[in-house]
Amino acid sequence: MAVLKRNNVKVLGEGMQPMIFAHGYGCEQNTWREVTPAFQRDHKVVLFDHVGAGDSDLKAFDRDRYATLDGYATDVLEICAELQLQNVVFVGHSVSAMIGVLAAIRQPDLFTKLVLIGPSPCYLNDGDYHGGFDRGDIDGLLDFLDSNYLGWSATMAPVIMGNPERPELANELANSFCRTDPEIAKHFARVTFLSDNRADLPKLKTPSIILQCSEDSIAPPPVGQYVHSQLADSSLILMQATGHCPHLSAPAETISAIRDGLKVLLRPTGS
Amino acid sequence: MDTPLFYENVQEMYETAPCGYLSMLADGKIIRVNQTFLDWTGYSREEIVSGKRFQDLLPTPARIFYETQLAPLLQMQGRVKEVAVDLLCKERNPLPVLWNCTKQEGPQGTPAFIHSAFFDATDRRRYESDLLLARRELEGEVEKRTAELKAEILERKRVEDDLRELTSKLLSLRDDERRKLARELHDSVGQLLSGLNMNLALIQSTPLTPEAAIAVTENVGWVTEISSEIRTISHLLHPPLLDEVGLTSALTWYVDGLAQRAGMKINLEISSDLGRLPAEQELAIFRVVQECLTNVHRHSGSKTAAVRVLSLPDNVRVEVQDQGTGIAAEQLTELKASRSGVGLRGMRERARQFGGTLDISSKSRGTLITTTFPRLKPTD
Repeated sequence: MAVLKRNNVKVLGEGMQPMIFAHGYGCEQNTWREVTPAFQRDHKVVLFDHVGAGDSDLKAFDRDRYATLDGYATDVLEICAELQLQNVVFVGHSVSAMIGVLAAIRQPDLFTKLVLIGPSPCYLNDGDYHGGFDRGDIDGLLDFLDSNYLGWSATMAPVIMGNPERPELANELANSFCRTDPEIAKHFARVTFLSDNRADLPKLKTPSIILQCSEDSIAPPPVGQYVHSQLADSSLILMQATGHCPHLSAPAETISAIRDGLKVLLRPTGS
Repeated sequence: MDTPLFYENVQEMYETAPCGYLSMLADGKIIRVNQTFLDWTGYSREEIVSGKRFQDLLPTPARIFYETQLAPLLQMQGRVKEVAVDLLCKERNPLPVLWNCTKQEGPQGTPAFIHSAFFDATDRRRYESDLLLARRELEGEVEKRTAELKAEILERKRVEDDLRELTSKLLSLRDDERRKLARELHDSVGQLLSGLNMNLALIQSTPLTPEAAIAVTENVGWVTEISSEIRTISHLLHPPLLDEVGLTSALTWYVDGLAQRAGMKINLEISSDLGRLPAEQELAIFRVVQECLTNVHRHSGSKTAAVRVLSLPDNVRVEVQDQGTGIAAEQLTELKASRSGVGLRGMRERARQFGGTLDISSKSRGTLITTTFPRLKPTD
């Protein structure tokens, strides 16, 4: 139960096959709200917040545990274990795509397929590899976060956290969604944008679908291509949608891309 | 006021407002800006509305933030307020602004618009970054100082532990020495005195001059006195009753003896269900009472004292109270902080060895020392 509270896990839907949705950096589980209803009839939809985001248990945050993406992957595995999930479809956006890859490498039998939306194994440029950013950009982001505590003020936060039954308190803040403790947000930003999991990609055995937006400055198309080339059993779906969050900006296209991808990869059941 | 003039004014207000206006589509494509925005950023209207996207006007760090957090926020709550951001002007110089925006849903089938207002925040942002810098410096200082304090506390703890260990060793060494000395006094000196006594008896049975007979009788008296004295010293050093019969008997013997020797009236109360305690604990309690009563006798000027050894469910409580002059407040503070008083420190250490505590309270009409010893399982 502690795991479910820690990650604010929600289980919806009438289907049997579990589909776990993992939000990316800067978001929380609510970002899936346009997409998940489409899967609730045929799947058991599992939503959660990474520790530090949304309504997760901030007390569970531990710098050492979450020093790398592996710590977040452990959380995913613990959630699956707690809910006794099997044949899991993992849908991960942004950094959570890599978190899903790490989890599936550690427990290949648990997952039947991964849906990777805007994945990037490494955000920094490195020799021939173009992740899109330099170290200075990431330091700049950390500075930027220091002057933008969106939806967070030292005086309001404890009030909101202490009164979960009064959501109107949160709405008093200008930017109530995706609020995150600024220190944790900076930590997650650092862990996300300085991660390099390129060497892990070839270890993945689980089939995967990569959803790549046509214009995405966070995970640009060449990075999607790279991921596709490194993942053994993957298919790459190029989307019309632009930006980094197609599940919000183009939910219909995202839903049908996931559906198509699942059809292709779905192995006959009962075999 | 006629309509065309009013419209002109609104249009003019839009164009020359003291803030920059920008409207874009959900994907960031800019469709309209006001003149103020153009003046501030140095772009021409054509450069801006011919396919430029809002993201293109943001430096990379802000763009990451926009794509990962602000764009989702806008989709979800339809507005974002008070974002501190730099806009990239045409000359690539940054313009610090505060940014508010709202999403306007178009009629069915038409795209949504996002309307933004930018406020020039050059001074405010400079001031904020000064504050931020100061805060970071302060945090650095605090961190440094905290680390220093931690190291200091650790070092002090180590010294304290060493001191405790030393005290504990000293106490046990002294107990051993006393025990050994007690035995030696009893065994060797006691034996010699017995021999002396027998010889004197032999001499007494032979014919003596009257002077010699008086001297021998005197000697016999002295030897008896020395024997008694030696026994008392030996038993005070280590009461054999403590090992043989237990704390209750040993304390009774000690208190009676001291009362007699010092001319004091000492009331001793021991719970009848105290039973036997582990040998080391009985010795520790005995030593605490001994130390307390010696202090009462030497320092308090009190001719009365009360000793209570109470058997409680979780611990044994030892209270020694006198009706003396009490301890001066300053000295009491020193004593409580363990900064002075070798005897008291020893007692505290004896209690601590068993996980117990020592408390001292003193008023002008007497002092009360309370020691607790948590119950251990008896060794036999």
